[in-house]
Amino acid sequence: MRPRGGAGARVGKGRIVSLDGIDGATGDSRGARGAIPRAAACAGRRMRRARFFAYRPAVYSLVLLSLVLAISLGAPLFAPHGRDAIDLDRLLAPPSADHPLGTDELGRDTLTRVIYAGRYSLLVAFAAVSIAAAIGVLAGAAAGFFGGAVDAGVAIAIDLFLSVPVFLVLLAAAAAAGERLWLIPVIIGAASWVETARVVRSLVQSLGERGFVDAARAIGAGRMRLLARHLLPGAMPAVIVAATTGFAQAMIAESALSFLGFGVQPPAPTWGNMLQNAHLFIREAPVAAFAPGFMIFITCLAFHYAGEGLRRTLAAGDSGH
Amino acid sequence: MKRYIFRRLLRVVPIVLLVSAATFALLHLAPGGPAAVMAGGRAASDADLARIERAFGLDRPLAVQYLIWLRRVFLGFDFGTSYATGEPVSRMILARAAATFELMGTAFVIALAAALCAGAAAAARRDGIVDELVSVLSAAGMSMPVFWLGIVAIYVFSLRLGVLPSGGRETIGAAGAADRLRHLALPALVLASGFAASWSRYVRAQLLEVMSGDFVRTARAKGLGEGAVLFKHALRPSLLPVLAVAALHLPALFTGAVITETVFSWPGMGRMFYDGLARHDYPRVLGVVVVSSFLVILANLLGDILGAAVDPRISLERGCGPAAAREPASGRGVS
Repeated sequence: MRPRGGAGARVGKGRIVSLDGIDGATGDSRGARGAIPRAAACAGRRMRRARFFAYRPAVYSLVLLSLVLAISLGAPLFAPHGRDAIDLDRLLAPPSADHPLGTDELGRDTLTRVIYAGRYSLLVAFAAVSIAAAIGVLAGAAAGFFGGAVDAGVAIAIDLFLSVPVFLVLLAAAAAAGERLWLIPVIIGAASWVETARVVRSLVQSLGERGFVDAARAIGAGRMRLLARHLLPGAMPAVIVAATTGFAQAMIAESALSFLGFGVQPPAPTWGNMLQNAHLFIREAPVAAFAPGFMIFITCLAFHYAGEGLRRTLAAGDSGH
Repeated sequence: MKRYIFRRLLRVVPIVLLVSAATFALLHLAPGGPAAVMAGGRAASDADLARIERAFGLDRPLAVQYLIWLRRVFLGFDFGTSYATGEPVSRMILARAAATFELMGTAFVIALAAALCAGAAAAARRDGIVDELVSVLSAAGMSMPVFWLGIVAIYVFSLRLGVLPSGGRETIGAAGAADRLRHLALPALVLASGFAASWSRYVRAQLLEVMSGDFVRTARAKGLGEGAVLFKHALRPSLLPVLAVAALHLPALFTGAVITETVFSWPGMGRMFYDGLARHDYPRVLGVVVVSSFLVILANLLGDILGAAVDPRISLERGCGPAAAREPASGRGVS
């Protein structure tokens, strides 16, 4: 995920409009809501990049996330031991030179498993967010574009998802998924599309009333072309912002499922399922219980600030903070 | 308004139906059938399993089973009996509801109080050092997985310092008000933290908006100090909108309660749900899903009405109405 490229990649008429739209849709409480002058918008990509990098927490977050990603991808290079290698002489060992974060109840090296777990946790969250974004864009665009019965149907679905404790159903679904790992991101994605759908719906609706859409229609653009070329590009920045913050939520959802024992099943490690057993042995090996949770925490925090940076970058005018 | 409330109440039924049907179907997709659970984990013969399935109607088509279950629920608040313990599920829920409400209610009050204090402190001097601090803390609070916070809290306060119990609702044999409070403290604080974090942002935004109003300018002009402006004039009109938003987070609060109850062995509905799921005890799982959905929807409706009552700009009559008024940035998502 390259937030910067995504945010600046779109050029054209839709852009200024999309900027007002985002501001309204995400309800920026801190920012000024005025529309930016056209000239400023055209200064475009470079200025936006500058604004993103001016927001320090987002920059640090990006660095941290790159680091986490690199270490996870290069796990065999960085991990001191094998992922499932068992050291029977040292069960629940305290940190030592050989095992910097100690070992778990089966004698597996905690640091090694934290590193490998990053792969699963990030991958599951990424897949879940992609699925959620796809469903959200489809549902939101259909609702905003076609209106009528489609809109009403999507509105009911959104209302349904917002008004019940979806996580309980999510847990039941994950329990039904059993050992099928690929179902976990599908389930999380299917449960977290609502935010994107709402943003896309309102953006497509408001964009549809703009002059350039009428103009496109007048020169004979069909419905699909209208949607794909004129309406959705305007909604993309908002989708990316929603996906960035959604990443943290997907990651917390996965780790909660795995912690409860219904998510990704061992021996494949995730930061969530490592905690499942570690918290039972917290007296003997506290580090093993702290490390995976800390990784979830800082990764989610980084995604939070990266999302905040993106939102400020895309919000119109000076964000006033 | 009355028409709106009536229409919303009507909508509760299809929503609960959909949720229960989805859960029902999902549970029956799960590997390892309920008959095996009832056989008590021992290796039962196929003939025994078939007999159990026939006795409990588990050999009928899924849709028929669902309808039978539904009929019982509607006619007599009968969610069937637990496969694992043989106890009626409705009685199990009633026995545990109080514990869950105690936890959720305490967490709700703590979170609201903390959010109001933090939000007011942040709004008092915008972009000041307190504002920055609150902003960082709330980001941290929203990124903290509730189960991990629970684990860390148990380690620090129960194992290291030994000042608070690590789980349960009371000490058997030594129960009393003080003992109950000591058991409640950790889970309630842990559950409250995430909500305090996200609501403090809303409080701050709400206060800043109110404070840009004319009547606040008048108050300042007549010489009131900032503190008086904040507490006497700005905080009061912000209270109800904040409360309305908090009410919309009840589904997430219940979710948090399920996880918190599991970490702290809190004997509530969440713990019951988790145990039921782990043991393929479907009646228990379904019962909790239906009852909690029902309660949460009702509370949500209350929040919407509250929101509309204090802010005439929110129109309840139009479309899916209040959903559009929910604050997207402050949601805690599925967990």
